[in-house]
Amino acid sequence: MSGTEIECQNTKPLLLKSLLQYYIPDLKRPFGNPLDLVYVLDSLQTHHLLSESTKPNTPQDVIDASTSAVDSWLKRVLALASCTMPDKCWAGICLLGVTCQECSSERFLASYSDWFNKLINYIQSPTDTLILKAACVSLSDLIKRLARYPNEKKDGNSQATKLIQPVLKLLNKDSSEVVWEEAICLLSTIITAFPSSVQRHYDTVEAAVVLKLMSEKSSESLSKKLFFVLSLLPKSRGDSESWTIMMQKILISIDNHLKDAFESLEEGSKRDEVKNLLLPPGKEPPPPLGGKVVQGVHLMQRPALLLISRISTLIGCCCQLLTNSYPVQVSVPVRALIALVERVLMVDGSSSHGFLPCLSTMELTICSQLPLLHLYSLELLSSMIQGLGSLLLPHVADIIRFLTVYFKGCELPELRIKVYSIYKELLQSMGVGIVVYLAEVITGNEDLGSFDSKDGMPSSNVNTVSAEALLRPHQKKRKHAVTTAPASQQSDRDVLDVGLSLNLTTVSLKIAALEALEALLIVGGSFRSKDWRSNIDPLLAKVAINACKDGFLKEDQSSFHLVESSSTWACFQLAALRAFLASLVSPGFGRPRYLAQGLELLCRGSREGGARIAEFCAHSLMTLEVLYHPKSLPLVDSHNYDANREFADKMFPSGLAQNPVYHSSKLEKVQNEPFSDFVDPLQSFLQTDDEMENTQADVRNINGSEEACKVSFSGNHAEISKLPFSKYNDSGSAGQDDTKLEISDARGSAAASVKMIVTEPSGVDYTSKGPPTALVSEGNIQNDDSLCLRNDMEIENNVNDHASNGMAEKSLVDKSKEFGFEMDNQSDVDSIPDIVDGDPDSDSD
Amino acid sequence: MEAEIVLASSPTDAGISCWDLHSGAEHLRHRTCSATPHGLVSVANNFLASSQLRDSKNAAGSIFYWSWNKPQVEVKSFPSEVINPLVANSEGTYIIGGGVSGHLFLWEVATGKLLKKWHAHYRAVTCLVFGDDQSLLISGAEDGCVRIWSLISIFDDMRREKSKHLYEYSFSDHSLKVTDIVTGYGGCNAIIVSASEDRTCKVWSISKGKCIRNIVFPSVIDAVAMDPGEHVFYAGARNGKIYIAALNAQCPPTKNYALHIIGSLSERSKAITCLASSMDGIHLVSGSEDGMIRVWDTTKRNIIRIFRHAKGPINNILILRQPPHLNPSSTSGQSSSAKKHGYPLPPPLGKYTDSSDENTEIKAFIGSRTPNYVQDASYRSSWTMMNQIKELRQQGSSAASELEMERLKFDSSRSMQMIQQWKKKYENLYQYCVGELLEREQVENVQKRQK
Repeated sequence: MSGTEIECQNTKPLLLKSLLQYYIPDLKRPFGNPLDLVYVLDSLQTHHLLSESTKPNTPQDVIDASTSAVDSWLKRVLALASCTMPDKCWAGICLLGVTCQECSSERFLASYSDWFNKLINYIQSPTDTLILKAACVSLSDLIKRLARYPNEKKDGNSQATKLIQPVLKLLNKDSSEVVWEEAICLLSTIITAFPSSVQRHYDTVEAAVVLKLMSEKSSESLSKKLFFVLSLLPKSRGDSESWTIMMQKILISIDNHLKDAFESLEEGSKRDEVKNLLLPPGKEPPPPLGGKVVQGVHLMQRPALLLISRISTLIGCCCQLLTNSYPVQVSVPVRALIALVERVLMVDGSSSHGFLPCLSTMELTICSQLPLLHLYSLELLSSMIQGLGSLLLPHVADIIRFLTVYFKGCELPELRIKVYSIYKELLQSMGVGIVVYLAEVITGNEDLGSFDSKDGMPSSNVNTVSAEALLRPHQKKRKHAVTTAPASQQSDRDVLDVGLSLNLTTVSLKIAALEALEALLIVGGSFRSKDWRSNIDPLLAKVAINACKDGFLKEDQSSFHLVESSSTWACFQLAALRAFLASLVSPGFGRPRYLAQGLELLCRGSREGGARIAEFCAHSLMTLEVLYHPKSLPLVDSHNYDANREFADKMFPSGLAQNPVYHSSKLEKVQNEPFSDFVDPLQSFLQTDDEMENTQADVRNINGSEEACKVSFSGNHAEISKLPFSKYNDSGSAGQDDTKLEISDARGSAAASVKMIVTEPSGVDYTSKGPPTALVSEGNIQNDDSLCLRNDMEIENNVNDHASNGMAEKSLVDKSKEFGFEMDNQSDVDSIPDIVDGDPDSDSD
Repeated sequence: MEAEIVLASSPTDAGISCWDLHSGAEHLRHRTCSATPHGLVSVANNFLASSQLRDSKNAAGSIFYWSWNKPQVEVKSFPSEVINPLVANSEGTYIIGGGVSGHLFLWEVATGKLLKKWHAHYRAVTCLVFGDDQSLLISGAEDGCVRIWSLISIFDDMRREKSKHLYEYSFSDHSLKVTDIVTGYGGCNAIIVSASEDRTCKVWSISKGKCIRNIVFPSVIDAVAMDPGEHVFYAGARNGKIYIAALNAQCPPTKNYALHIIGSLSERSKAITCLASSMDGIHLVSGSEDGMIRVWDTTKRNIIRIFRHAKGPINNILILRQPPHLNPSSTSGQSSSAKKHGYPLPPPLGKYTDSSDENTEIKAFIGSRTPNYVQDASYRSSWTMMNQIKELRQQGSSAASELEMERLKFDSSRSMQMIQQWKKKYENLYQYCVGELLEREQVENVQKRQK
């Protein structure tokens, strides 16, 4: 045991005693500065003064000292709690709660029932709100601690049962909301810790909670807690039935309220459909939510607003039920839930525009509150996606269909943001299959369009301009529209626009759109994406480049009154960069066009950006490394044909080889290959896309000068190995020559090696079976044409890989090495002179 | 290292054997199973399911369920035709079977409902695999076709009516029966490796929708397994060798093998019938026609363990994480009762699709993926206490209290004034009353005197 540990063991009781002596009020001393208590709490928790934890080999006197210190602490706390002065009593109750959480297990188990009895007294007798609140919190901590000891389950259950009546009484009493909130928290603790204790009071608890939910007085935070408890309630019974009935009750209640609210705003058909799904004809309806008591409660003041708030609260309950874990399998009325969402979303304030003047005040209020309802029902949809996962698959297509219709007509940014986030969730949870459905709707909107224009961006130093100027972009510009006005005029106009149109939500909308696009690219960036990638890649590049054009925002540097706007802007920059990265990394068609810009941007961001942006940029540079460093090896054929040939010789001594067939078809492929498709990967690696056309021309030129190559090839091998590149490029030249299979103008290395294989092992075949295109291999392959085709495809693909896929480069060094190797091999092989001899064009002939 | 188990089955009625991959210890052997090739599946590690070979061709198919901790078959289902391959998605919500007629059957596990049945191939389906994001299904058949299906599109009746075909891609490059299919990571960027009796393995790209590599083997390949890092794949051949073929690996120039084949694992054994790769990518398990299961160390290319399943050939090998309900005896604790009962098995699979619109409810475990509500774990008293103190301090120190003080002072002074006033009134009244009384007395005295 080291010295510091001994000290620590010894000082703990001393420290505790000094706290008692100087900082905790006692019965005689008046309640001093409340800050003293903060210090007490802090030291208790930092040094675990109440833990009485002893290491093995602790001297007995140290143990005794710590036990006696905690004893006196408890004595004082209990004395304080029974004090008549409200402030001291409050402190005592609070400290008792802290003791419940900090003390040792032995002490807790030995005395929790005493503490429990002490605390329960306070919530049974009418006292001060502060004391009630403190008692609820301390009791809830006591129960939480108790639930950790499985052996105390029985006792805990009986204790918790005692609590329920007083808590319900508190709820039903007309006290302050603070007390209600704490009582609800206590109730939820009881349900989670000792579910079976609530069983007998199930209906009364439900009634009390629903009564509070439906009342006009509950604030938002209270109703959140209330519907959390309501969704917990079925857990107390823990069977599938009670969950389902609770869900059904809530849905029917929503339905009844909607009927009142939407009376003249919706068509009857949808209403009846939902009704039928909820309660199939002939089925007995469950008892109303909250029992008969709640049914009677009808407040006649402001009925429209009350209706809306009740509906949204009930939908909130559904969300909680769907997302909180439940121990057993339950049956979820999916169709009814989906129909409910669809029903709410279909009610569109504008559809009744035709008879606007005849709207009553109530209908008008409801129309004005429709966005809130829509938001809640979208939330319900999102909860279903989270809660049900793949089980939702059979219904996804329907959901997307009505959501898309809704999205097209939806204009409020808050709602669009929510729909985007649902799209994102769908993409993440449903996988590639959904891309086909979502690509069009996510890529085909204008939410990001206004960022296309050059001037839609903040100018000058970001850190100094005002919030409005930061977030000014709000001009509708078509994609790729070239602005004709000079930049100065544009910026003038921007300044004029500033005051009117700008707010944070438009930026948030763009962030949501970018996130949805990012998810789309991650999940299905290369799946049937040819149509939209060509639009989206440049768009994302532009958005990212424009967003960061005037420097990166450092969150910590922004002046304090700009905090909200600047952090939103930083979020926007981050979202733009993330989406851009996704578009760069997601394999597309050819090398990413904007890689250069992307690298520059990310590199700058990693140096200049604030903490989050810099971290992200550094990470993305690492992610992109496979694209700009030729490290990864391509999934394409390498060039060890010779090895192949020898293998074939071994495996198929008869000469009826499969490999030759394969390679001959390959040769044919090379012949048929449209030349323009072939671009040297090295070339493409060494230049940007804009130069691609030139390269192709160059390649043609090289091919055009066949003579030089031929000479060099048919001359000696040493010469070729000096010129590996011209040789390699030349491999495409076989495509131009329409020679037959017996071609011997094998200038390209690939063609040369193929030729060797064709001629050598199947030489016998030529005489017996005719041209190698008609070769049939051992009978496993029925149709050699199909085989050729297959191989064609493969080669085409390989060539395409070379030509277009940025992943497929090799370093120059690698390449030349390989060629060097080939050369060696070729010089080993005797057949090469034969080929050369067989070449009709060859000069050496 | 996480415990992994090896499961093996055979077409003869030899049951399902189960060993620990790393220790070699044998677990419970499940009885009465003569599985079809690719017909053994662990449904989300909750229970085992296997489609059964039938003697007579005309009989309906059968699919059996076993609990992990009981040897006997617990649930028997009898689909309308013989099912060859069987596959379940990773969440264990759907089971899909491929029939001998080329139909695919999609059941919901929790209810046993046959949700969809569709004609997928012209001849019997031989293998079924889920893509790594569980939204794509890949099927191979005796007609040499490999097809990719999107589950969402299959459920989407409206789209179904519009489009000519249901599949996303159909690859018909194999000229003979497809024997095995594996798929890699990467969602839509994943690759598929298919083996066929035409002696080739083909590598397909889902995103490009075409074959990107064709590898010709010296013998028919019946089993493929992919290295988890997708560096190479292993192909088990009928000549008893396991060839190692390059995916992302460099092909060193070897003189012994055909293009892309970079080596082989071999021991004198009969044809390799199935392969499975362990999660760490080091161990490879092969099943062979001679009934032996060999565990290979792929780094050293040697055999490290041999299991013996039965005399008959092996036709399925699975490597799984050790399921929680395996071996009730070894796990002791308070919740042993729950363990003893294991996972409640779902009802048997239905025979026909329900035409009536009863799809209104879904049976689901809600939120079982997230264990506990976070808020429950934390104690609140100290936090509430701090907050309360803050509130008290704000009340105690702010200007509000001074105002309050002033108001109280004002109140008290007003009350004092009131008291003064009342006092005055009282005195006045008193004097008045006394005066009145005295006056009346005087009057009475005067009257008496007059009398």
